[in-house]
This record gives sequence, structure tokens and C-alpha cells, in this order.
Amino acid sequence: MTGRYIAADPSTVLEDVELERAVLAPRWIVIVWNDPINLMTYVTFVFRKLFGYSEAHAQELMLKVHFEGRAVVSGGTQERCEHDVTRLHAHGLWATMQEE
Amino acid sequence: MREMRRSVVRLPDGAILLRMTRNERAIVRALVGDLRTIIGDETPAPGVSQVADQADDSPDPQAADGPAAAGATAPADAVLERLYPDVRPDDPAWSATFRDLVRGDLDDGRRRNMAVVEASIDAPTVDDPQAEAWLHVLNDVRLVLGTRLGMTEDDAPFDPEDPGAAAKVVYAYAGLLEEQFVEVLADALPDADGDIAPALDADEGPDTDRS
Repeated sequence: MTGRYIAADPSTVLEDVELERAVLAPRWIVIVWNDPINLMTYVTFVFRKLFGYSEAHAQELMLKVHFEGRAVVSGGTQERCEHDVTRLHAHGLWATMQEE
Repeated sequence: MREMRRSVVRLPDGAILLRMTRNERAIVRALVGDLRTIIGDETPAPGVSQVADQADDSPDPQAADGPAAAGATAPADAVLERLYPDVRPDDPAWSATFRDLVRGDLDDGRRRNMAVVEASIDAPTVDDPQAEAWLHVLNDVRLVLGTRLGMTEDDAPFDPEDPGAAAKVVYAYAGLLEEQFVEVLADALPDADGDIAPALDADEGPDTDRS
């Protein structure tokens, strides 16, 4: 899991301190909640469009939202999650974020 | 038996045909007008209309922590709450500050989409970016209508005497239309392939009607 933060840019040379901070950085997750208004096909479309997920994966996430009430759709740094939540809101989905 | 008449059709040349009557277009135009009254021509200044007692107007969401922002609350109006949800329900103050930061951008996007729809409301065909604007506007319209009507997933039997009956018919129409925009636009998305897609899908062309 920790490699995720460093592998993003392999050319970056991190000082030990920074490395440690990267490793210890809390991971955030983005959750989409079920709502009675958004169409199932629309939600699947938005997951594919925003995150580039395959149709099958997007549909799986949509069904999880629909039947279980929520699904984790992305994760990463706080900034990344703020970005994703805002894009989901721009598309009318009910999304929140929290520390994992 | 008759094939359902589709209102949104991808033409061989790539354009998207809007097979809609004048009245259907008039309905969409009215819905956009309604949405415009909610979004407004200008985003209200942070904290003025939507967040009560927002004491801290610092642009940094982190700065909202602490007692200064303790009075911040989510928008009282259910429609606004649906259009601009709390990003972190565990931290209403942070969420209020964050909403103030991004609301202008969200509104700008919604206004751009409304303008595109209004400009192409009578057009026989639209291109993909225009179709996406139609899709987003229809979805926003349904969020507003559905929230006002208190729609739930368990559809109550339709009651013609219900004062909201007409609005529910419009809501249903907007949903049918939106679904067709989704289908046409989803067919044009690249499939990221790979990991989870079942092998069965491999032979399906882009025109295959998947559902």
C-alpha cells in the first residue's frame, strides 16, 4: 500500500523524512451513497467516465451502491479524494470522503 | 407489438439525432428555466445564503477546524443539500468551508451546461459534448424535482389526484429521456478492459445494446 505514494513518480528522490511522511500519510477513501433519484445506468456511466473503469467494474460498483447502500469508488491522498468527490458532485452523485 | 420509439439516436455519421416534438422540447426548456432559478445567475457569496453562522471564511478548509466554525451547518434547503452535499459528514464545519470553495465552480459548470441545452433546444441533431450537457442538465433537473417530490425507490402507486401528479409525470419523462442520453453516450466510452470484464464481452462491438 505504501508503494502507491512513491511509485506515482519514480523519478522523485525523496528525503528520508519525506519518505516516512509519505508512508505515514493517511489514506482517504471516496464513498458513493445510494439515492432514489439517480438512474442506475447513469451512475455506471459516471464511474466509467470519471475513473476510466471498465464497464463491468463500473457496473459492479453501481450494484454495490444500489444493494448495499454505499461503495468505495476511489481512494488516495486527501487532495485526490477532494478532487474526486467534487467531480462526483458535479455529476450529481451523492459522494463523501473519509479517512480509511 | 411496436418497437419503442427512441428519442435519442446515434446516426451513422456520428451525430446524435434528437427525435423530439416541439412540446417535448418546450418541457425541457421549462425545466431548464426552473433549474436556472435554483442555480441562479451568480453564486451567492460564501456563507450568505446556505451556511448559517459561518464564522470563518478562510479559503483553507483546514482552517475551519476549531470553535470558530462550530456554528456552521449544511444548507437547510433539501434541494441545495442534494446539489451540494456535505463532503465529510463527520465534519460539518470543514464541509461548509469546502462547499464555499467549490460551489462557484459547480455552479459555473451547471450554468455552462444549461446554456448549451438552451442553445441547442431546437436543434435536430447535437454532437457528443452537447449531448453530455443535455444529460447533466436532465440529471440536475431530476435531482431537483425528485427531491422536491420526495421520491423514494419504492414507487408508490400513481395517484392522479395527487397534487404532485403532473410533476411526477414530468419527472418520469425526464428520466426516460435521460436514460436514452446515457445509453448513446455510454456506447461511445472506451472500455478500460482488462481486469474484471468477463470474456463474453470481448466479441461485442460498440453498437451492441448492452443492458
